[in-house]
Amino acid sequence: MLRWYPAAWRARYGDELGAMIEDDLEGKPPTVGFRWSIARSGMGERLRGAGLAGDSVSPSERVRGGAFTVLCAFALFVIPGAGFAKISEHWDQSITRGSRHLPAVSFNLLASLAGACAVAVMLGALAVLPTFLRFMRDGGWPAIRRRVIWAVAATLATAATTVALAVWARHLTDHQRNTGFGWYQLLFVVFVILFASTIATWSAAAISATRHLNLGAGQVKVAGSLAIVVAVSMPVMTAAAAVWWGSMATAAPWFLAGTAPGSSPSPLATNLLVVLMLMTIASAVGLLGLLRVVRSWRLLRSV
Amino acid sequence: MARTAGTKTHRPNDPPILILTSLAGGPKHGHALSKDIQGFAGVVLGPGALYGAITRLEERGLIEPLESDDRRRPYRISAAGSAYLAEAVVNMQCLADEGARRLAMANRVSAPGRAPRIAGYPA
Repeated sequence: MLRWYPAAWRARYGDELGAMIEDDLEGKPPTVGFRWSIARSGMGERLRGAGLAGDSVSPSERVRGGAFTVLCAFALFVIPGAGFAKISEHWDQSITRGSRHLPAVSFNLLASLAGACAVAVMLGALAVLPTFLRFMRDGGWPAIRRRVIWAVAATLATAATTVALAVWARHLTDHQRNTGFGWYQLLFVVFVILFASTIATWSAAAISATRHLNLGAGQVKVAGSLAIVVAVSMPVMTAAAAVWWGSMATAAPWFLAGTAPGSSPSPLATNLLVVLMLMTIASAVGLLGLLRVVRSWRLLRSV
Repeated sequence: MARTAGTKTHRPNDPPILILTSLAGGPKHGHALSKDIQGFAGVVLGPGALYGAITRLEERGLIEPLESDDRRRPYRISAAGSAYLAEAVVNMQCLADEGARRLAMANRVSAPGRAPRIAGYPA
C-alpha cells in the first residue's frame, strides 16, 4: 500500500506508517475504503512533492508545478489536435465559398493558437536550455537516462509504424483505407497509441529533467508566463474546434460523415466527439495548472 | 463574512489542531495519537490523513520526532507548536464566546418557548 507514496517520503515515514497500519488493522485484511484512503494520501504526497498541491513548497516550486501541469495538459491536447488536423484535411474543398467564413475563422484561429502554443513550449525549452546543459555537464545524465531511453524507443517505434503505414497506404484504395476494420486499421490504431506514448514519454522526460534543474527566478517567471499563454489558448482552441464542427455540420454535413456531397447524414461524428472530449479534458487540466501558477505568482514576485 | 488578511481561522476538527492538542498531553506515536484523538474529539483519523498532517507539522517545526528503537516513532510538540496551539485555542475561544454571547442575546429578545429570531428572516 505504501507504494502510493513517493520514495523520499517512504524513506522518512514509511516504517512508522507501516507500523501504524499494522496496529490499526490488528491482523484483519484492509477494506477497500482503507486502501483508498492510503492511496489518496499517497497521491497527495506525490502532488505536493511535485509542487502541484499544498503550500509546503516555495512559490517558485508551485509556479514550476503549475507550469508542468500545463505542459502535461498540452501534451495531452496534441493528441486530439493531431486527430482534428487529420479529420479536417481538405475541408475547404467540400464547402461553397458563401458558407466558408465561420469555419474558416474558427479553423484559422485554432491553427494560429496551436502554432503559438508550440512556439511557447519551444521558448520555455530554450529558457531552461543553458541550465539543462550545465546539469548534463555536471553528470546529470544518469538521473534522466531511463526516461530518455523510453522516449527515444517510443519515437523510433512511431517512426517505423509511420513508414509502414505510408508504404502500405500506397497499395490500398481510398475505400480500403477508410472503411471497415482490417489489418491496416489495426496498424493505424497501433500508430495512434505509439504517437500518444511518444508525446507522453518525452513530456515525462522533460519534466524529469526540469525537476533536477536549479532554475532561477527569471526562468521560473518565463516558464509561468508561457504556461499562462498555453493554458488560456487550450479552451479557446477547444471552442474553435466546436464552432468549426457546428458550422461544418450546418454547411457540409457530408464532409464529416464521408458521404456523397449534397447528402444529409447525421452531423454527430464519433471521431470528432472523442477529439472534443479529449480537448476539453486537456483544457480542464491546463486550467488547474493555470490556477496554480496564478495563485503563486504574487508570492513569486515578492521573492 | 470576509476573513481579515493575515489572520487564520482555526477549526477544532482540523487534523493539525487535533494532533497538537493530543501531543500537548505528552509524546505519542501514530497509533496512540489516533486513539487519543478519537477519545477526546470523536474524530477518527486514518493513517493516511494522520501522517499527512504529521508531515506538514514536522515541516513547519510544530512537532519533533523523538529517538526510538521501535518502528513506532513518538512525536512531541515543539515550543513553536505550543505557541501555535495557544493562538489557535484563543482564536477558537473567542469564536465560542462570541457565539454564546449572540445566542444569549437572541434568547433574551425572543419570547420564551420560541426559537431565536434570525436577522433578515421574517419572524
